[in-house]
Amino acid sequence: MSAQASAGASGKGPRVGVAILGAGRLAAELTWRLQAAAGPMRLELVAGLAPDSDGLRTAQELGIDTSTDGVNAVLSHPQVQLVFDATGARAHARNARALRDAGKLTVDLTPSAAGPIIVPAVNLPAGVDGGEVCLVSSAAQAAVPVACAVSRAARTSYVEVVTTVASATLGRGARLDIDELTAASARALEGPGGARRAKAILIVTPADPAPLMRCILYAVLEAAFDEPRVRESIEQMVGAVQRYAPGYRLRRDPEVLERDTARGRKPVLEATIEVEGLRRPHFAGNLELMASAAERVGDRLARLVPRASEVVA
Amino acid sequence: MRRVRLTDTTLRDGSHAVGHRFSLGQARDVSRALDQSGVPVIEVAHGDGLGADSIQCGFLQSVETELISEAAGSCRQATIASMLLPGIGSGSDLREAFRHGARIARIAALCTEADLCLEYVELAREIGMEAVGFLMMAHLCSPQRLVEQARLIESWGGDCVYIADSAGAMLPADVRARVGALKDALTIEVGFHGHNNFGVAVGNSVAALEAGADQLDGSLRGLGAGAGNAPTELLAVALDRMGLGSGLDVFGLMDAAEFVVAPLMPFQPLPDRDSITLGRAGIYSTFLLQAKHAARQYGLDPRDLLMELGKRQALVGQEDQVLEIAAEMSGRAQVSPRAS
Repeated sequence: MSAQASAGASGKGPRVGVAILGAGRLAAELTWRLQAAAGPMRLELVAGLAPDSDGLRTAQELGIDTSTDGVNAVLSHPQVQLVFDATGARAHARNARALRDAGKLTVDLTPSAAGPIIVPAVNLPAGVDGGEVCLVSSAAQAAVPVACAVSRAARTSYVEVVTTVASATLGRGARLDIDELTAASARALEGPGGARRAKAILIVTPADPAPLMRCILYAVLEAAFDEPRVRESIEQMVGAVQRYAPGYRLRRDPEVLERDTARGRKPVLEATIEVEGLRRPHFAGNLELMASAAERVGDRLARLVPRASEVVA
Repeated sequence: MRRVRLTDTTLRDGSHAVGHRFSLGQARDVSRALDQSGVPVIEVAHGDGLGADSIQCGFLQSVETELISEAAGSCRQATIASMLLPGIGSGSDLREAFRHGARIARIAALCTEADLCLEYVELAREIGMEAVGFLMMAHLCSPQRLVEQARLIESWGGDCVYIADSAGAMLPADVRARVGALKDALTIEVGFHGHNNFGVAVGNSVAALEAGADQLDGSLRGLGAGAGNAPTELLAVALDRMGLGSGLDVFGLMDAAEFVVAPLMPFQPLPDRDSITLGRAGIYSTFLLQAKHAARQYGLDPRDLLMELGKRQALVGQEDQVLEIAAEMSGRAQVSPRAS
């Protein structure tokens, strides 16, 4: 652990001021999470546009400052060094440059995925130079670790992930981003997930009672593969995710079966990931997983940024 | 005179029934026959829509855009439609379909989730395609709820809203109530897409016409998921009898069904024991073949498996659940949470 990191971890010096941009369901979940966090971040502001929204209501109930002036409130807030953007892909595209120009580090929780894609169990950011890191989607956060675990242990030519989320967890903003979300989730599987080619499918189910968030991951295995090694790699990775997202688990042991693929019959590993919400309704594991990943990444970035006081000194 | 537009979906819904194995030659022959018989719209895509080529939904034998090109190149008058399910297909798939000749975008979402269509209705309009909102599993929604969802599609500039009885779970009165409610509430066109699980796909389509439907779907010989669709050749007869069939060559369609499509069908979809169960369970017709297969693999009665899928409200794209539930029911593979 670096000197900076240990200074942050021990809580010396002022905590880094952070803001949440956006006022939807994800923003509400993240607000609750960050106000309760004891790490190096201090939640200063939640800024949205609609006064009557999940995010702003939650923040007000928790005694956090709110604004309906959106990104402007964040830009002009002197204490805020780190911003969690939980708006939408289009809004983020508009906000990103202004945030960068204002010197605010950004964790992008929308599927715009313009910066480096981060999945905490796989690749925490090493520095703050880029100004922005992207978490893409709960589908990416759930599936990339397993894809990465498989690709570290075996050659995979193609990974496919089918994610099912409860309709009630998807707010209006998320519904307008479905094209960005599926495309960016596939890119995440090809990037940090290590797949040579990937496809992501999203199913929104209104089933009642709502099922837990689940991802089924298929990985086409090439040539000879060491099945125990693949299993062990997956098991370790699931453990790594569980350290920051305890509701994350495999539904059953992964299976390898011969299946039809785009290139004929091949051995295909199938793993089913389930994400249970531990605080919110159980079916809202997708929101909790994103908030967990955001908190983990935020903690790391907060330990890397120069403190406002140090800059002044 | 009132004009009803017929869309033939042999080359989309029928894809399920042939295991997604249409060849380019078959796409050409089917489209040519439909075109020559005056069918104005021909739908071409993977059964689960553009870009559904996948382990989960099944791989096409031919390249999807080539199927579209082939169909488009075989038509003199017909327009090519394609389908996109948000979450499965993508905007780039739709752009590619357009580039290869599709001119009508049918954006299909579960009837409670119309807002997932917005991005694609807008995209379709932007690239110059006609935009149809296709509300699936419409038996799940009351007429009032359907109206709310259909109004969204109208407000985004959609040209038509379809009511799709994806589970073949409706009777004529259900169709009449839903089509009638949409006709009263909307200014854009209203369509109906039936499945034959209760043996009333044609009757339901006639009920839709009586309630004012402007568009209908059919497929030659009823080739489609579950018990199949309303046969296009029978819809042509019904339209003719009702004085609404302008431009359709009834004999030509009967010939196309008999001599072009019947020879390529692996089986004739019909309301048999499993398909009727599917309608009763109210689940997607696309699950029929998977459920039969899984039931055989795990030594179950497909009817028990289908009813259980209905209880769990399985949706299109959740094909993995068929095997999982079959495994659970057979007790051969336990499903247990690994971490507490």
